[in-house]
Amino acid sequence: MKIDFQNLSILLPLFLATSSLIWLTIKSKAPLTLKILRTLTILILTALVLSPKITTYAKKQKNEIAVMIDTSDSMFATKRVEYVKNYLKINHNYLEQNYNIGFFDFSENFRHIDYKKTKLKSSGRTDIINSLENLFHAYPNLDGIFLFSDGRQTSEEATRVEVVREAKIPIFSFDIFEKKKFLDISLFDIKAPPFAFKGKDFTVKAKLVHAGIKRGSPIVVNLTDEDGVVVTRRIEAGDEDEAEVVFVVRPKKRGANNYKIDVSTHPGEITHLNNSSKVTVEAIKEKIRVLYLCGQPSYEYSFLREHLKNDANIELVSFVILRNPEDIALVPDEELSLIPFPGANMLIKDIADFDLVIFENFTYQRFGIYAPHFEALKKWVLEGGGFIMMGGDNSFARGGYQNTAIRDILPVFMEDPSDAIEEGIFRPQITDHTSPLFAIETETPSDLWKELPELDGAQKLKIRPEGKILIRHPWSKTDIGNTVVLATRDYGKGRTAALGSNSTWRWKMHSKYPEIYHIFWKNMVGYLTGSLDESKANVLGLRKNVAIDTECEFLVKPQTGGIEVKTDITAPDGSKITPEKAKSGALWRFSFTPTLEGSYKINIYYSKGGRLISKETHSVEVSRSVYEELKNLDINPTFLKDISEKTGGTYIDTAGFDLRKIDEKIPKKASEIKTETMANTTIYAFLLITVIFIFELAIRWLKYDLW
Amino acid sequence: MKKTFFAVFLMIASTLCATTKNHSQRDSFVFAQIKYAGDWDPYPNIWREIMNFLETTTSVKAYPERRVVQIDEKIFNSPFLWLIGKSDFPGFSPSEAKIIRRFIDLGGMIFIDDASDTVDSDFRKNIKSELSKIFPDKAWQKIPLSHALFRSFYLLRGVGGRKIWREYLEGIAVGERFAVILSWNDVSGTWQKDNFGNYLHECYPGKDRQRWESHKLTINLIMYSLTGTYKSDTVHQPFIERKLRQ
Repeated sequence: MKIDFQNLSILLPLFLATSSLIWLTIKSKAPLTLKILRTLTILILTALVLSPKITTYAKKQKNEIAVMIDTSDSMFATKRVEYVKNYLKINHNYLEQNYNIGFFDFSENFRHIDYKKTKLKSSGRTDIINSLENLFHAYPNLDGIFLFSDGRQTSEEATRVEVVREAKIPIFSFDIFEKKKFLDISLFDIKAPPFAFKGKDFTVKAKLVHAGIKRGSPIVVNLTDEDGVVVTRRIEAGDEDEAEVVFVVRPKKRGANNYKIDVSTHPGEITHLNNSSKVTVEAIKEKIRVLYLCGQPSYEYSFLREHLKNDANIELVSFVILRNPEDIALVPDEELSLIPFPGANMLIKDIADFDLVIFENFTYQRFGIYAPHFEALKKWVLEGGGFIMMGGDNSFARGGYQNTAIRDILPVFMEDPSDAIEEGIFRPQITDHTSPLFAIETETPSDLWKELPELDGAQKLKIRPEGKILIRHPWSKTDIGNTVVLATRDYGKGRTAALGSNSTWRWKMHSKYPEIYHIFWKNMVGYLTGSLDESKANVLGLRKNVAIDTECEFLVKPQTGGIEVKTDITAPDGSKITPEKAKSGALWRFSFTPTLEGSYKINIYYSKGGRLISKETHSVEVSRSVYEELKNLDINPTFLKDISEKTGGTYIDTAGFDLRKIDEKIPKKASEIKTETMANTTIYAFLLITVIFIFELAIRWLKYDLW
Repeated sequence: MKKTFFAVFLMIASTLCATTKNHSQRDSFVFAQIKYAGDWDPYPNIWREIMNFLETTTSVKAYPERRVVQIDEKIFNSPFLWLIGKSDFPGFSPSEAKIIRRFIDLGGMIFIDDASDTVDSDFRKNIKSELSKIFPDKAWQKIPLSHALFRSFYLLRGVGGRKIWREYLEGIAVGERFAVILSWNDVSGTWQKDNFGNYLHECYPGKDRQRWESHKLTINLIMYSLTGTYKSDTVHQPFIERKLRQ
């Protein structure tokens, strides 16, 4: 028992006051008995003012033990958690009888559980040190910790293992798991760029660990997309447990391309959870790829080809039929520059590489293009491609397209192959000036689209209900209105257009504003390929979630030219980061490597001529890599031994360990049991004073007859 | 009165229609020839021969008439112009020079054929000088045999003409294309026939073989005007190189 006084600061004045009162009591003429009683009262009051605290000690009957069960992903992937359950089932009674047991599960942090009621669940990566540290703070009087873990500390704080020593609580690490070498192939460290250019290859790298796999055994790794296997890599298990596979992939479509990497499973593998991984790559366009098929050399072809060739944002592949089968060849083939027409093959095999396909006055029947080609083209438009058919005698129904899948996707009807051609020069009329095709740039005249230049001849096209008329013929009529010169249509994710004339070259040679020709075709290509819309989304390839210490890369594409782009990045701790910057054409590339977990804020500033035009903010969540936990499923006895030895505990590496031996290791110290009795003291003191007071009154009355 | 009015109306309408028809060519190639004060048309019938040959051997649609143009706004209907001279060239007026410059800048092309039958041709000297004034920033240059012009349809290993004065063509390049092309060798003359269908002029020194090369060059010139540098595209190169090696 121990008595402490709280108000020792007033000890001196209290001593003086008490001494004075006792002195006065002694000097008084009262009988001795009363003097004693009064002195006693003074002393009790003095003690009360000093606020005594009484602490009593008792020997504990049982030591306080925390049982910590690792419930990180690695424990579940390997079913080791079942070993823990079995062990505790067998030894539960002994533990209950001999210790005051508290159960906790942990992954990154600990959680108190009711072992009998709580179902253990896989809960992420392992942070043993952090969990222990937090436990020490919450339960500083523990006598020992029984740790059931595989020791796979996947957080970097493994270096902070020294902190467990400071708690002076012995940790007993239970390595009770199966010791035989297990089989496992795990994928980890998947490296894929956040974005790639459509039509161009990019690389995906994946590392894999093959533990326990016989040397020379084949390992197959597949990279698949939504349509199936894209690339297969075969390797042999080598002497080293680690290997790397590299996939060269070409994105099939613009936007998010989802890929899955699967490594072949082997019989007896400890888990299959780490045999596959997913990755998303956003495909963007570096250049718009255009496939232009033309049925005969013409000024339209010459002008349009030159326009498309001279546009730095366009990569053109064009084919024009220079000679038809019925044309007479007066020289051997070696003297002609003709090449076999590859267009048919391209429409099947390479269509995904293009953003826009142009058919101008093109007779498909003679060049090995059949229904499957058009079906492929239709599917491609449905998924986001752009298609335009331009006039000429061999286009639309006159070209036989009314019996193909092209009929389904165009904005105009193609019913009658004998559809007339409206001959003659005419001045076409815009019917919808709000269309993005007639957009005006800052430098162009405001009346550019007021009056279109003349065209020469047009197919008599009729609009479908799904189509939208943009330009019509001034006098030519069909049974449902004026002949359509230009119409567009949204088809699935793609867009199509029908242009009834192939004489737009006249807009360059015959216009008050020759630039109208280039603006029209630039807008047409941009509209059909969705590039006009894309300019709204400035930031490309920025992932919302990235792993710590992994490069985070993104592109910024200003809406117009002459824009300066700057960024600043704020880390979760408030520090500022200046990202790496590079400019390529119209694209700005930024990259940084986050080193902290949490949210990074990215500000992007657009300025022109030193003047800030706009700003946008994005955020990136940074977390630990999901691969680390399942990358290596080996038990880490070194780590477990280390923390046990540093704390005076024991590393136990067998399920048959006699738990009684642990008792010797746990100090038989009596833990403090504090009983603060201040409140009780006060009550007792007042009772005592009351008793003394009554006693004095009684003495006064009975003995001295005083009142 | 009514009859007179109707007749006048018909006349005006037919004139308008004729004008429209004259300009309407749709996607046909038009043999358009420049008319100037001088001997501009030494071979008035060759266009028919050329157009027949063009339509027989290629997929190009040939317009069934020759379009004779003076240097005015009408030349913009015909992006490829033929200019033949035999004796002299009077020069361009300032307005004509402007039109020629604009025509070329917008994508037009002119083939100049010297039919003078002399190495010291006034026609050629003058027209070169005139065009140099219009394009002071550009020089005449030899067109290499590797150029797309010599591969636009036939694979040519040399130039043609009625008389080979020079083994090359000259040109003025605008951007990547030769917008003005000049032949010293009277390519047009190789097409000229008499009323019995026989070629009128002997080709020297290569005779009929040279005539044939000349005809192929003519087709290549037209094809070049209609396809530009198409045959310089990467996809063609392996095929062309292989054929040339043969």
